[in-house]
Amino acid sequence: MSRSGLRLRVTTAIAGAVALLTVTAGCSSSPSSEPGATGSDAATTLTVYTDQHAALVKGLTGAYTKQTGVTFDIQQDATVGQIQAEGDASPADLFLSEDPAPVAQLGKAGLLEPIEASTVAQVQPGLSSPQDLWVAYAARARVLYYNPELIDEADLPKTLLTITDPQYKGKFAYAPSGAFVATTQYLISTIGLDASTDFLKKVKANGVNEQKNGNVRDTVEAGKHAMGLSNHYYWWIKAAEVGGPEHMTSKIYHFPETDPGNLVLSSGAAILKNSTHKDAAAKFVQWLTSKDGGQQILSSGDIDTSGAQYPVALGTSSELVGALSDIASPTYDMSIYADQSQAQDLLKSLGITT
Amino acid sequence: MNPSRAAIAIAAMAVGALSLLPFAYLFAAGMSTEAIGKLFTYPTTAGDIIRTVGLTLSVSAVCVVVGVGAALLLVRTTIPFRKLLTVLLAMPLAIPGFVAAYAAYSANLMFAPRTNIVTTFAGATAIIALTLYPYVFLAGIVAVRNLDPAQEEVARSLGTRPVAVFWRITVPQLRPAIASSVLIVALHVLAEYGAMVQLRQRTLTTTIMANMLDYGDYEAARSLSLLLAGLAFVLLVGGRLLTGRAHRQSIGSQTVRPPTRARLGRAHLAVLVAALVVPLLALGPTVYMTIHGLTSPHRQLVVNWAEVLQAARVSLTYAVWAGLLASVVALPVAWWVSRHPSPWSNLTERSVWLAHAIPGAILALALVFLATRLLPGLYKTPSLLVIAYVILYLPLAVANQRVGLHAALTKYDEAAASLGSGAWQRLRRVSLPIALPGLATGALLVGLDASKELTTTLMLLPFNTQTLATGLWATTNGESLDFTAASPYAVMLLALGSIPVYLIMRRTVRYIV
Repeated sequence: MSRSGLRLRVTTAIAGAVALLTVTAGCSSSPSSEPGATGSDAATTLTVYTDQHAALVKGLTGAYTKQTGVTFDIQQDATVGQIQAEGDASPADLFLSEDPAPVAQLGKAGLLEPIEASTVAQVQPGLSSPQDLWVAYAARARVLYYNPELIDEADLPKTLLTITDPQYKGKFAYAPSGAFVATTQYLISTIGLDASTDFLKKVKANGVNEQKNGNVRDTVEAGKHAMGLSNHYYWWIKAAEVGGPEHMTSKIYHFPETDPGNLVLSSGAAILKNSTHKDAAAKFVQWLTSKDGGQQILSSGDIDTSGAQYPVALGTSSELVGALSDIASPTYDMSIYADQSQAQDLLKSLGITT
Repeated sequence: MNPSRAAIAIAAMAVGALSLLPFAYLFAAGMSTEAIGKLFTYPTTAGDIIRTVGLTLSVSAVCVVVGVGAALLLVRTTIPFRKLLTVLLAMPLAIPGFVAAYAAYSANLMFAPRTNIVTTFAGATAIIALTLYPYVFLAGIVAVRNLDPAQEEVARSLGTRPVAVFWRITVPQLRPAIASSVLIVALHVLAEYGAMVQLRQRTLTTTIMANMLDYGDYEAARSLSLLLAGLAFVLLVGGRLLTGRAHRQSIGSQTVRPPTRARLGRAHLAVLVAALVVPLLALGPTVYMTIHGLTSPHRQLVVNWAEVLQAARVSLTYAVWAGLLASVVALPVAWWVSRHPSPWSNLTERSVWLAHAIPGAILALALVFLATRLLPGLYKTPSLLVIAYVILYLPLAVANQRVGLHAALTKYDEAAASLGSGAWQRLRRVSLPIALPGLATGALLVGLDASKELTTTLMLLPFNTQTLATGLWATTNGESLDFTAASPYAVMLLALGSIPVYLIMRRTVRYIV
């Protein structure tokens, strides 16, 4: 190849790259502002850190933007670690968690601004921080999935602790997810370390570790396992995927009496001490937990925006999954999840997680 | 040492030091040997470390066999449809590892729900190797084509049997040429998270991530990252010892003749079918699950194609910037180590590789920590994310630039120097144009890997922005991939990924026709 030919190709390559960058430069995103919104908050942008399902947060914040003009910067898949690594420079105004552990940890680390008592009072008691450090805005319940082709409902265990009975050996799946760790921490705080150790040893011996809640759901649905310990909403998400609950083979089972197998875990809203928009953040949290605000979205039958979570405001219920008050969960202080090192040590030393 | 050579050396060392920056975070944020010590009191730890090493070795081995085997088949036999086969065999590069793993897992559940195929050690090895072998395949094609057939002919004429010729002449010549690509595969395995979890393989990286995500125990995560880096270090040093020095004894002219092709005769069809099995296994589950998701009769979700296209544009922009920036930054390192090999230049090159082995989430935390303190203006801007991609995938650029610079023989450089040409002029007018294909391949591979990256991207992505990978992830609700909601993103990822694969293959295809 001649030198001029080579030079031409070099030039073409560079020109191509520059052209590409010019074409794609348009996506240096400009913050979206909703036209037509009025009020003193209209210019405010709240920075939300969240590990909650993306569609749910988008639905909630989107509705609030429409009503008030307040816009949001959203950090998906946020962790307490990211906020700690950011230190004083953290831009986060709010944290919307999926499980209680992250907000409980932030509270314990002294990073949270207390929530107004009137806001906490909108929510069913027992779901939020007793010190009002964070407030529940949604909730999920631990459940047992079962495949009726493999086991009759009447033959299912009556309590979580009896799932390790010999007749269920090899028949159930579990996943050491965050909610499983939480259940373990709850058991340690109620039945003690020895009994919890005993139970988990049998879970490991008799059950199949499917690693993720989604896998537990899919394997029970596919008939690989007769039963599986998981969270309620995964089943509803799958049901929406296949065209409705009537197309599902597997079913959801709640243990009949008040039981740790029905454990309710709150999704918490918290305001960071470092926030530069505390008033606007407080207003948003108040709307989020109000029956006429965010709770309306959580109550709706639209799974894309409600995520099939339970609403938590007094007197609310979900058109899809029902009322949280129907779940026979023990009432307890979710601040226990600020420090889960006992559960962590136990699960690690049993080799259930690493 | 002349001034420009010193400048290159200083630039290269600066790049090496910068890529070690994430490790500064591990020390600054605090670690404890206690956490590492405690790890060894748990019963599964030894097994997890053995599994980590085992998977690294087994995946690397399968990649070598498949990658080099496919390269030999295409360059040295009369197999038909060579162009098509080459492109098909390279295509798995376009699929992110975690997507391939989800697809394989879903297919397993769909067709054989009561069996564990993909979640066994062997199954996981196969699934992960099928996403990574193209790195070896790409390097293998160039390496096999550059083999000097004269040496094999001499050996044969002396009565050496074909099998002995292969092991004693061919393999030693190939070894150094594919060494870098095998190292890339091995480091990918060490740092892989999503695919390992889905395939139920507990490794050091999944342990680190579990500590971060399930327990919020960041000190343990950092401490374990150092252990992982130690493992990578052993691999990098060991890899060097294993591959030895590049030796090219040539007979006669430097020009390599076209290879003699083994005639397949009546075995044509059988060999072709066997060769097609590899891309079929690698691409099949993902393509099938994507199509299945898009055509689901129960489809209720409405696809927002505007969002998908916007995510594609964001992915493309970041990928192009990452490819270009990585190429610029890699050049002094690649130049220094290939033109002036010394302990210092080698050490600099190796340090660039080390960051490739720590989990993306730890690298991201390191950049969060450093950026908010040192460069607060960059935090949550595309620039910081592009820098992260450059640190992560710099080895891909360095390795491929070395191949290119190797082709631009020192002889030409010396000839130009003897005619009075200065160092920068020689770089610009002699070496760079000849090395350009290697440089381009490096840039394309960096861009490709950047567009597939997930864990680092999630943390550093500017607010309210999605890439194709994070858009796809957002549909999973952090759990199993729902191929209904995810398939539009999967389609775009595949479409976007096949562009660089095609561009790379267009250059490579001329080696095989």
